[in-house]
Amino acid sequence: MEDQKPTSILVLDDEPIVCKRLKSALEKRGYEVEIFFRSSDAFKRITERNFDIVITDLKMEGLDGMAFLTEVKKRSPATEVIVITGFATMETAKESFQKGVFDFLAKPFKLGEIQDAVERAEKKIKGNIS
Amino acid sequence: MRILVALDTNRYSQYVVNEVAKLAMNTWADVTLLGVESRKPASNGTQPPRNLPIVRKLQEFREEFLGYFKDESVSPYAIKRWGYELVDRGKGLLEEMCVCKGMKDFRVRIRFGQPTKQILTEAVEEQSDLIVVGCSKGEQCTWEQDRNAPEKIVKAAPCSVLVVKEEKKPTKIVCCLDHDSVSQESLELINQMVTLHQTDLALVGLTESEHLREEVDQKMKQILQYYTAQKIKAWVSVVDVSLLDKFIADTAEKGLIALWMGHKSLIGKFFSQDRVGKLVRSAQSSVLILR
Repeated sequence: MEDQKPTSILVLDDEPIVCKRLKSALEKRGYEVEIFFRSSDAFKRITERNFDIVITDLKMEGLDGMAFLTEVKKRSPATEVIVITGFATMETAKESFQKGVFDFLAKPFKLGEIQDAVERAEKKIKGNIS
Repeated sequence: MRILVALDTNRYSQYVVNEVAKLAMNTWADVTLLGVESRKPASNGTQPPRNLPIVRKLQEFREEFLGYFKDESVSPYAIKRWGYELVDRGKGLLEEMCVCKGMKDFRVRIRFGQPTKQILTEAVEEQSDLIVVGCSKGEQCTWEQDRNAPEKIVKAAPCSVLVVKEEKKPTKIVCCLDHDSVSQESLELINQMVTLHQTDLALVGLTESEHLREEVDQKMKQILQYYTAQKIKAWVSVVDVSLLDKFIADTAEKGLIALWMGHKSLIGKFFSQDRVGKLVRSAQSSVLILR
């Protein structure tokens, strides 16, 4: 029997406008979405449960996105992480890649772009693509 | 981020490819290199016209661009997956072809028709976030088949446009912004440009009269707070609208000029489309039109 549980997504971005935009767009597509503006709150949450997909900004106060990404992959290697960043550099792109990030999106991006990345990540999780 | 790179065979297009490659190395953007040819030459069945100068030039540009991503283990454009897709071969023929893909899309395309129309159509269809186009320095651009193409693209584009004049690292980025209606996308694009060039940021507010100066200054400081919070070194100045042309001409020598020209832009009201066109023609440095 097919698993009907919706794909769970954690969104972490210190800009509330970005979080709210993503939550609304992703929930419309049937995903279960939790948003966090502070990395400390998001970190606490990932100690409580695993998410299928994590979408995280990189540049934040406190625990930055790269450290958060590392922690997510350490606790739950199966979680696919999508990095979104307003201050992309070659180094952060490479480091994200080496840490096993599923996708790296520089802002600005259209909602369709992140929806597409989430769909691809979901397919990978469900084993539909190699 | 999706970047559409409009190219012809002029030398400035070479600068454009280099600039976009540097931006793509940071942002891992989806990139399309687009050339436009006025008329499609007669071809034999489904064989593409390989001997057009733009075809050869685009092949050179493709190699030039990918040359920036030689380490395939960390290249977003290195082939990571493949699969069969139905491809429209024209004349009522669909063919299932093996399509290889990287983590990010990198495409080379040629369209046939009027350059400005084709470039804008591509930007709409591909939902580009940024169009990058080259332009000669001096009053008259030498864009093939349409000398005013960069100017027309800037005026009509649905997204932001970077007009590249020469390969020069700007020492500062000067942003003429509205105080309360700048789009989040525009602020984000400025962030990426500041990160790419490692420059300071000058935020310029406009005022029509002296008694509004303080009010504009206060509102510009709200934008300044955004950038300060992002740890970007920025400062604010307020310029009288009547002096904007001179201000831009003076600052364009050293910096990259960015003008917020979105639908709600006050600058758009002060600064007519013709003046924007003149700016694109006459600017000595690159110009970024934000939308």
